Amino acid sequence: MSFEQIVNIAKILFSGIGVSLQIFVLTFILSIPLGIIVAILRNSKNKIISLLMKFYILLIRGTPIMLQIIVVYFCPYYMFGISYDRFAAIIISFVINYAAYFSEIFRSGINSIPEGQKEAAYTLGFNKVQTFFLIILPQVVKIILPSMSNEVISLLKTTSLAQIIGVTEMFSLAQKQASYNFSIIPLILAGGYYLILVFFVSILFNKFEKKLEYYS
Amino acid sequence: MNVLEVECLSKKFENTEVIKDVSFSVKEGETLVILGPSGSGKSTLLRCINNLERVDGGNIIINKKEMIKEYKNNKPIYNNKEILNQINLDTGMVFQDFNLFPHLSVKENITISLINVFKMSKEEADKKANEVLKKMDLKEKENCYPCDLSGGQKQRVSIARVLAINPKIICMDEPTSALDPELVGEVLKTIKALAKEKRTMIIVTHEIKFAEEVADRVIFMDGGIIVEEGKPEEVIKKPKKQRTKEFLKRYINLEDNSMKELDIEENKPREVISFFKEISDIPRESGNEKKIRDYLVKFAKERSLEYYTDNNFNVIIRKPASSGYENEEILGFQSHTDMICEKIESSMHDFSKDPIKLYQDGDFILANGTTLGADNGIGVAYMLAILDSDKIKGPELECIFTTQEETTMIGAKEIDGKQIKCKKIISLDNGKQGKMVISSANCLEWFGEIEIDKTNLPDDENFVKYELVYSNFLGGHSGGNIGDIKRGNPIKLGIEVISKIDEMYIESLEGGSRVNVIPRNFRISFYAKENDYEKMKEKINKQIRFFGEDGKIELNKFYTQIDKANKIENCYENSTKRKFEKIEVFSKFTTRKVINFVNRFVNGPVEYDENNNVILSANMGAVKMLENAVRFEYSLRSNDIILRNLYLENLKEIEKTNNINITWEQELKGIEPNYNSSLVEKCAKIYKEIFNVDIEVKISQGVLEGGFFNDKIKGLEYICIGADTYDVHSPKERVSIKSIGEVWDYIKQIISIK
Repeated sequence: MSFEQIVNIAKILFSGIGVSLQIFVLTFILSIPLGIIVAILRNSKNKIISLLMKFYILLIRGTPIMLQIIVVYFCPYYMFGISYDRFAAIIISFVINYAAYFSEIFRSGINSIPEGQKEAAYTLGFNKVQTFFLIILPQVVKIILPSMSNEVISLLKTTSLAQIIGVTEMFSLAQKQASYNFSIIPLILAGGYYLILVFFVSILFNKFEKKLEYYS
Repeated sequence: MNVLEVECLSKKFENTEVIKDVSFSVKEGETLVILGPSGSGKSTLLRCINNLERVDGGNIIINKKEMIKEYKNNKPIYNNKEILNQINLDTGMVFQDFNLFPHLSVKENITISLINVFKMSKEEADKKANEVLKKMDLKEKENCYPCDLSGGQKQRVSIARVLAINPKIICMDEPTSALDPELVGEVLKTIKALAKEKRTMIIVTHEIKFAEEVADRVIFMDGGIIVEEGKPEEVIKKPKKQRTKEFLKRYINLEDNSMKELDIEENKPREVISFFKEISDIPRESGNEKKIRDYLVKFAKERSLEYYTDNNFNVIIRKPASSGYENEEILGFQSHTDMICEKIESSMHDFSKDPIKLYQDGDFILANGTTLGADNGIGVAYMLAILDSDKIKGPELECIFTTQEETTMIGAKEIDGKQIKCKKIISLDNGKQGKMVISSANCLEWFGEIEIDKTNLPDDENFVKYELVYSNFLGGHSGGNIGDIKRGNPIKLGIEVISKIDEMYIESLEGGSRVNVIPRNFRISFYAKENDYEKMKEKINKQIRFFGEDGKIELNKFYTQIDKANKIENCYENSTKRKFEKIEVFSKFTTRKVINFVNRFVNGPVEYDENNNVILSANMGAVKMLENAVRFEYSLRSNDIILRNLYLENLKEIEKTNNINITWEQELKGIEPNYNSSLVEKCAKIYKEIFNVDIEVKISQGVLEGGFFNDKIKGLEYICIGADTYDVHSPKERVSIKSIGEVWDYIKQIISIK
């Protein structure tokens, strides 16, 4: 394969990065609040709610994401004959999936904050919402950052599954190019792109961790 | 007005009732202290008041607002959120473990609630925060984070945080329990200041002394009920209930019924005891004798007695002879004015300014959790009583008050000999009636060094590293305790074991602490070719040892692997830490010198007299590793100069053959015992006449202050007597009143009989 060809393939793959990043960013932004809500409900004193959340987490973590994507997209069609935007289906299934993983990370973070923090906040007059957002959450962020970075990196790479229901993103382009050219080079190029993206995400997380090192 | 009312409160955890029907109230401006053993429900009570725990019965009314609206089916129905919120803002809580917000700076910890709960503007909140931080003396820490603060500072920030919201009542849950002992003081001081401001407070604490000072009222709780309630001087000083007494006894040894404040009028000899009480009011820690000196000078001036004083605060006071005694020889008395300052952990006594209060328990005078200062305050009191009395007829008297006996002996060392006229001195620094010490040891002290010549461990994989550790031996003072062979010297014992091992290289060694203390520990690490741990251990077990109950000997073997480059990998058995290092050890020659010197050094009691008193003893006090040398610190005490010189000759020989380099040497002159001195004979005879038993004449290996007078006074005769004191230098120090009286009679006779 000539150098020109490789550059060409690289350009084609680059055009797919946009979709990959869209999936990544949207999932990230939407699944975090959902994860927090799930974590709080999972800690709820109401046994039904807490049980429901447990079931949700079990279901999502217990089945392959590929299956979840298929179900989210095709179920409405088979059940009600409704078909809808493939990209939306990807976002929905990713958010549902990652919210479950994130919620467990948040929950471990929340539970690791000493009870005394809440008690101190209560005696100072904070209500529950204020206590959560002013006292608990800022401390949780620092604690969960390392495990969050793991999960976020995995999300970035999982975007390649979007092709299951025909959403064209970077990796699906690479696969097409590979079979078209009978070459593994497009796949290696794709790997290179992922590596670069992950590298930047890691740097961002490291910077954030450093920023939170002002207290221990 | 009552800020807080607790009515019939009860609280269960599962099936245990931790608070049972407790009722009390707190008035505005009052400081209430709750005392009690762990698990008595004190903390839970505070948590209920702060609504951190739900109650099971009763009610809590804060600032006229009820926490519980009503009871339905025996279950409490709490008031609506709004009222609970108001109650919440009326109460503040200081937690045992601070609960500061770690992600916020000191200032933000305070402003966050002001801004978000009290809806202040940022400027207002900052102003308020500055105000409370200034008050807590933490202004310069405002931008620090809690992790940068000491425990005491953290607790002060948490107090500031509560003060900022200005609650009607502040609860403190064991505010000093999580602090290091040295930080407790600053927090207690802060709380005391708040109490002075008439803040309404409830404090749960274990600091009894603090409770006594700060509380307007004290509640003692045990088993979930209020056992006793009242003013601190009632509950703490004179508890009525047995449970309270038992609890308080653990903290102060005072609350026993048999113990009461010493009543001077009731006890004899009043003249001596009243002077003892007077000097006990004067702080006189060793090295801090100015105040007692001023007192003595004033005493002399008031009675128009001749006196002398010097820069070390020594005082000499003279009293002229009574009529009929003009031709008698001058008689001297001597005591030291300083005292050792020791106290029990919970004591808040400040030796630099607080007077020592005297208490009586049966026949004993004692202090409350501190040393008493009977050593040698009783002697000082005797001398003052002698000088004060116009009834005692006798020759011209000279009373010498020396200083810093407990530490440097500088008073006796530097006093001007020309100022002392007498040739016979009776020291009153003896703690045993019925014994008379007639000598002071001559004491020689040395630091001797053996230069370390280092080599690398031979390249042989059979070498194994061992560490031999002796710890917790009895130790003791090289003067007073040297005769007791149970005390064993771990340095000697350790080297003895080592010397029996063939082909051995010392890596390092150290033991003991000071030249005049019998060592309590010793550690030596070395390499030997013996791989069998049990065989090594046997060498130790063969030793005949005396070292008291706690004495422990351990032999640790390190697994070692030596690679070609003569690097060695060390690790303890079970240890996962591995590190490479090049091994430097003492050369064979150095090793041999060290072993030879210690083995040939004759340690412990060396010679006895016919009465089995030790009259010559040596102490290998410490061995230390310096940069290029091993330093031995050792001393020799003797009451017999000929025997001493014989020993010395031998020692010099050992030092010479082992290239010991003496870097420091000091001699304290002693007083040789003279059984036939007229003073000894006279005093022994009088004792026999009064008490009908012989006084025991003792030779001491200790160094007495008299030893320093020997040089200054030609033909000095010196004895040392005194009343029975027990556990001196410890907070249990006490003195027998009966013995004070008997010795007083004895002293009066000694003065009056020609």
